[in-house]
Amino acid sequence: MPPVRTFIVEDSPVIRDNLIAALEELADVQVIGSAPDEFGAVSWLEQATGRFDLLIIDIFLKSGSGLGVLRAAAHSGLSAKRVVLTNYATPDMRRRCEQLGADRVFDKSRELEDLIAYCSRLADGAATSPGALG
Amino acid sequence: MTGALRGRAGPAIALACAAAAVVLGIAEASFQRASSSLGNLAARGQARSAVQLVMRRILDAETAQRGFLITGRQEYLVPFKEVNSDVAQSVAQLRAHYANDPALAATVEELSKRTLEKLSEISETISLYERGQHTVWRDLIMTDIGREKMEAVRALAEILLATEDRRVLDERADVFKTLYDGRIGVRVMTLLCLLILAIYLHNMASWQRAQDSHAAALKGERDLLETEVQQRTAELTELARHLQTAREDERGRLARELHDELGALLTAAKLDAARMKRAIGTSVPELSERLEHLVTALDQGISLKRRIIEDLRPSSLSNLGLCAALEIQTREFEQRSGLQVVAQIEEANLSEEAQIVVYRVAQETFTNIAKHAMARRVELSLQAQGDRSVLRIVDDGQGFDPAGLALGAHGLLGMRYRVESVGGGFRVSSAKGRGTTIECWVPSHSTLSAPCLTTSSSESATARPTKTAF
Repeated sequence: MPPVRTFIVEDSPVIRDNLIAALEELADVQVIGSAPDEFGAVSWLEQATGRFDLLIIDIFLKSGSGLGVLRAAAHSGLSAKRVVLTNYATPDMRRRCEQLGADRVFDKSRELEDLIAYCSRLADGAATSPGALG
Repeated sequence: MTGALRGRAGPAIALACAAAAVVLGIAEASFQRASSSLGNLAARGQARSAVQLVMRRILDAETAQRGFLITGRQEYLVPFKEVNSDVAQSVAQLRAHYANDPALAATVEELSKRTLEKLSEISETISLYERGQHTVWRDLIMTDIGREKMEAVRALAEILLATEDRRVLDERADVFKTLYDGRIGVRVMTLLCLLILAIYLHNMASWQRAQDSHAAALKGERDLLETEVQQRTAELTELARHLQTAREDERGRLARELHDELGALLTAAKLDAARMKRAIGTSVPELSERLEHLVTALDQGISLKRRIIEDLRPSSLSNLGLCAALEIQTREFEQRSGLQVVAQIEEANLSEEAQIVVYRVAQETFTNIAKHAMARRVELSLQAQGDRSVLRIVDDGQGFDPAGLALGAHGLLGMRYRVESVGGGFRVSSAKGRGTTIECWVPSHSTLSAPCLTTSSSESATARPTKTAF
């Protein structure tokens, strides 16, 4: 299987760098780019050429919001999976994100391992729905 | 003030009474003196009449004598018969009049004596005539005795009349003098009264002026105090606003730092832990256990950090804007409290400060409802009305009597301060058993705030299948 080509929307450099390192080490993920804000992410999405498989989105950004990125991604009709990684994973926020087309919502602190597992399954081509993940 | 007036008027009233008494006294004295002088004048008139009557009767007697002696007719003697009694009466009158004046009383006696002598001379001649001794009465008349006696009577009468005339003149002068004195006295006293009145009025006017200036000074002092109080109140409000803002700024900064820095570090630590876990695998069970413990500690740290951040500044507000933050807060309250909560939230164009204020008022009110209201249903609305946004939260709970509530109870005073510090207004209306309505309005911002990520109820039907009333 080819690696999971991934784009990351995250405003904190510390988290972004650690996340990239961890994902690339623990799952077969290849990070092809990142943006720190909504505008950068949406611009990248509009010009995205070639295949990419996964979009990891933080909700609270330097400017704009991850919700805007989700909306843009939904409108562009991408086939890539869209997951949200946020510190604010309240039930209401999960609902909002799912309404905007997010496949999964992970708590940035408590559900990191779930995200890693999700990425591994994507790489394996295994089931990635919440139920299937077990 | 009336007491002071009376105190001031006292001396003036006493003076006025004294002046009036003096005027009365002067008038009364003048009257008494004039009236006694006029009484004397009348008596003198009567005395003069008596003297003149005596003279006239003597002349009457002499005329009767002459007529009888020339004609011998008895009818000439008729007037003579009444002469004696008239003269006696007049003399008696004169004696009474001059009882207290020995010199003139002597003159009256002399007049009486001379008159009687003259009358007896006349009787004598008449008697001689009737007895036919015509030579004798003619001689008697020729002796000039009758004429001399007549002259003596006339002289005495003249003395009396002249005296009376002189005295009448004196007394008239006296009356005029009395009247004149009275006139002068009344004039002087009237002037004095006017002077007293003028002094009294002057004193009253200056007293009134003093009162006025005193009142003005008091009012000035009061105005000054009022201005100072207003100024201090404004300063305190400004200070409260400043402290509030500074506090919110500080909390915001802390929350951001905790979120950005500490949050990132903790997440990075978690990622490291995940990588270590994979590296260690199950080969060293003891290390795995320590790692699990480390991850648990990290999770606790993360939970703590989140609690602190949310308490410092709701991340939904700073990241999603007021509408979404209010909606989230409302839904969380609904789930936490189990009450039915209906929300209608319009996009609000508010400054960051005002957004925090509205959010905090809603938060505080929800806390109050959960603690005190015993409500079943709560309605929250945020509406734009002209140049302001109005937040209104209504519950159907047990309500309370606002007048009976201590100042600052249930954070109401704090809410009011918060709202007023951003130039808004705050109102609580409630009554026992009638629920409570909290209303606050804040001025709209000149530039548009970040648009609501959650759509308002009008858009929700098309954009999302959810309802905003939950």
